[in-house]
Amino acid sequence: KAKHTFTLGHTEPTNVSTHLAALKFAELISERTNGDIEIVIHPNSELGAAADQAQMVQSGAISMAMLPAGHVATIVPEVQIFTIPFLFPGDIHEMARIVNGPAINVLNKDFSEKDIELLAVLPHAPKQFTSNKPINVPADFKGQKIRTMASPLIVESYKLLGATPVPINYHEVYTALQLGTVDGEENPFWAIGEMKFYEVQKYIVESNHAYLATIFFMNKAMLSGLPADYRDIVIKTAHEILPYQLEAELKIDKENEEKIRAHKGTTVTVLSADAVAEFKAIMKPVKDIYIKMAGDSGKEVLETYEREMSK
Amino acid sequence: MASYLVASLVVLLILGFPMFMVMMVPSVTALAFFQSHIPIFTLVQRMIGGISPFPLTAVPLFILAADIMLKGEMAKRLTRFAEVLVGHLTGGLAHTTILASLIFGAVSGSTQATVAAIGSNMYPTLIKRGYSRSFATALIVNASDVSQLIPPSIMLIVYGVVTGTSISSLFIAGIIPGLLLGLAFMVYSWYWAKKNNIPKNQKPTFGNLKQATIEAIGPLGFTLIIIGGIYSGTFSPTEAAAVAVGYSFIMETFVFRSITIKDMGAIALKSGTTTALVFVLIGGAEAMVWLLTISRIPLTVSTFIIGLNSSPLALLLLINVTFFIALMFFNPISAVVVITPLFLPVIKALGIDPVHLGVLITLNAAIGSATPPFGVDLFTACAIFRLPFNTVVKGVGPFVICGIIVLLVLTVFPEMVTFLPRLLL
Amino acid sequence: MKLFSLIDAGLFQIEKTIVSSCMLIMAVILLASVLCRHLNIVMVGGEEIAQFTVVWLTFCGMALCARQGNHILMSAVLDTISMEKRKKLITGICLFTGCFCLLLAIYSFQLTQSVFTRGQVTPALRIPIWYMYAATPVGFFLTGIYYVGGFFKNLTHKGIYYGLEKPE
Ligand code: NA
Ligand code: NA
Repeated sequence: KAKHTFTLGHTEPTNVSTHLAALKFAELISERTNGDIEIVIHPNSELGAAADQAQMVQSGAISMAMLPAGHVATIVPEVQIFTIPFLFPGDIHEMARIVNGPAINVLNKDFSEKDIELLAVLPHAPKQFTSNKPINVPADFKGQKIRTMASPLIVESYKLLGATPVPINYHEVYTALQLGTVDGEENPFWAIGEMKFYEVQKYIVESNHAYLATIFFMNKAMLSGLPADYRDIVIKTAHEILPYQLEAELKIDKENEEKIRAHKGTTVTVLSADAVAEFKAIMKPVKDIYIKMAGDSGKEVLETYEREMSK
Repeated sequence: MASYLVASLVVLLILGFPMFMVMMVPSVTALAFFQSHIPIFTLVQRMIGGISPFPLTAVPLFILAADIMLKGEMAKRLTRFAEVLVGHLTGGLAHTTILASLIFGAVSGSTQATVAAIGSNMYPTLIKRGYSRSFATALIVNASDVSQLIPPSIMLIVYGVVTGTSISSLFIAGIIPGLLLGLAFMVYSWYWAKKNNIPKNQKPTFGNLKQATIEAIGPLGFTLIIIGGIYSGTFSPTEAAAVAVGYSFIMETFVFRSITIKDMGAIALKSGTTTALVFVLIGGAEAMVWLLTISRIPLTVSTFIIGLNSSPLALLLLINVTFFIALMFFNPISAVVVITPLFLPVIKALGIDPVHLGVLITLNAAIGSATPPFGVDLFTACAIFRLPFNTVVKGVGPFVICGIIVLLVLTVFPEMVTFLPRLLL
Repeated sequence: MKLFSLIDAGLFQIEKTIVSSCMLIMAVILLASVLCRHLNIVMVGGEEIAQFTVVWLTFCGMALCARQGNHILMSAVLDTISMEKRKKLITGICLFTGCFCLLLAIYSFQLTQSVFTRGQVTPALRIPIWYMYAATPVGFFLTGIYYVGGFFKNLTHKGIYYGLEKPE
């Protein structure tokens, strides 16, 4: 019988890499503590919406959670850094290394103040643009209605492009695209594939322009309440699940990419290097908006990550 | 803990406690006794979580639109039109209610919104024409079931996402079962009307028909705008509810001049109170579901059922029973999210088509919204018509049986569900 | 006593105002967001405001229903027993419900306080969410008061009070 039972909540279906990472975490932790720590996983928003679960981790109603950065940002605004377009490298392994490197400790200061501990940042495959009009240059976004998450930085990014960002609930996006309520959206290949968005979109542009990141964090008191050796195991293991998560992530992303490419009626193109440079130039002010929203501590986080990347 | 929950719940229910207490007292005490490390205020947070999903906003707004139409002219004109059109058939008005719910429910995707919008318009006329209160409410509550099956349906989307099933296949697969269910209700209504000698109108003259149609153009435009707006992508089903409010407000104040802007306060208060009566219960149910989930009770039940090692058909029947019972307590979306994944591996292993299962579960959810003690549509009907719970429940039985018959037919003959998507996709 | 009824009337008015204005704001906000989308004007956060109004509407409406004694209940058993017994039972239910709601008001207050101190905001508009959560202590407190009031009314008045006011 386990001495400590921890509840881990997340908001993804069981075939998403988040869940596989959670399973691996539970397995390794149980193994390394001889079954003293048991992790009970609740996928699929069983325990509530992401923002609600974030609050539950703070209050100790649940022990830990893996939640999208945009929702964790309702508690720790600095986390919005992961939603800035064209900031992090397009290679996901590189991205994972940088975001979980020494800079994570700077970010964790902001978590600690809110009664939670940041364990790891699990990146998902980069996002692509999808639409019913071909998109080659930033100007192609002018006047288009693009569905985005209700995250201020993403909304601002699309405003800079001259598009009209429309926040729509993830589950309603398919219908919204089908009925033409919005013209396009952005997501990684696996989400475009799993949610069948490609059935109702003509063009997909491989832009790798931004990331969805899952934030893995834990109730602070519960972590510090553990014996020192177990605490170390939890922190270390949270990092060691990264390779498994990335492998699963890339596999499902690749599978869906192939499925989408094989689908008649969907054209997949690659964003040219010139266009990328143009996008970067136009979206540069997003960084300033981030600093305005996340304050001095946000600035510190951004500078630390930029330093890491220039190494 | 499960037995404590059920026992305390039944006692409070029988004693006649307000329904929100029937949900909250067992949940709060069970959390305090069995999960004492969890802060009790989490259950209050779940109440908020239960009522804050955006698609639910459609419910109060359709109630408001309906209240505006009731206070004004539109409801009267619409029902007069329906009466003239089918009043001379046996159970004509009941058929009208079913058809109206089918069309409206199809677009709104929400059973409660359908109860609110169609029910408040049809109920007074049904009563006036001699239908009993319990039949009328049961008809309204159950006719709304169809909205879960005819696309777009929020339930089917949620199921598709949770299980990774093609949403377009699910949408197409829902059509035949939806129509079948509507048909089953019509047959029963015909029988009921015949047995109870509901008087028929005389066959309408062309003049009558013409006049009723002209009078009804404004109100019918309402349906057209809502349906057209949703299918053309002008607005989402949730936003359609707000458009309905705007449309009925403009028609009643400026075209029919039947209400003034000053009346809006009183109308909004009435709709708001109705909404609160229902939403407190949706919140309470969510609190209870959260407690069950965190205590891993759904997992225990599904492990037991899977352990029975039954044939695919027997398993499907068992899953139906599980959902049927769960849906007496759970709200439909929570049930799908919490229970479906538990059965998914064994479903796939036995080669059961997930599209088939999705439609069965959705139909179950629709029936469940009308089964006591915790049928969300029953509460909506109580709140809107200001009727005691018992009256609303009384007539539900035969409709639920119709639903179960359709459910069993679809369980045994999967082709009825799966053939249309295979044909079209 | 006069002051008491003045406060009572004031509260009643405030509750009614909150419930009806929440309904109307919800409709207006959603209409505005449809309109803005078609005019290509960026409007975010409509959903968040709608959520706030739904929550305030529900919890204030809960209190209003407690005052008017029209919460949904299953009266199958109540209907079969004598008036005298029914009155006793309802009196007890009012007292229990009132006390339980006051208890929930305390928990709701703790919840609101915890959200307040940790400063969670909404994703798009960055509005502090304790503004929304504050509806729960208010709602449960008033509901509790009204049911306790109903209990005393049952003791001192003829007839059966399901809430503070006599229904019908
Ligand atoms: Na529908
Ligand atoms: Na129903």
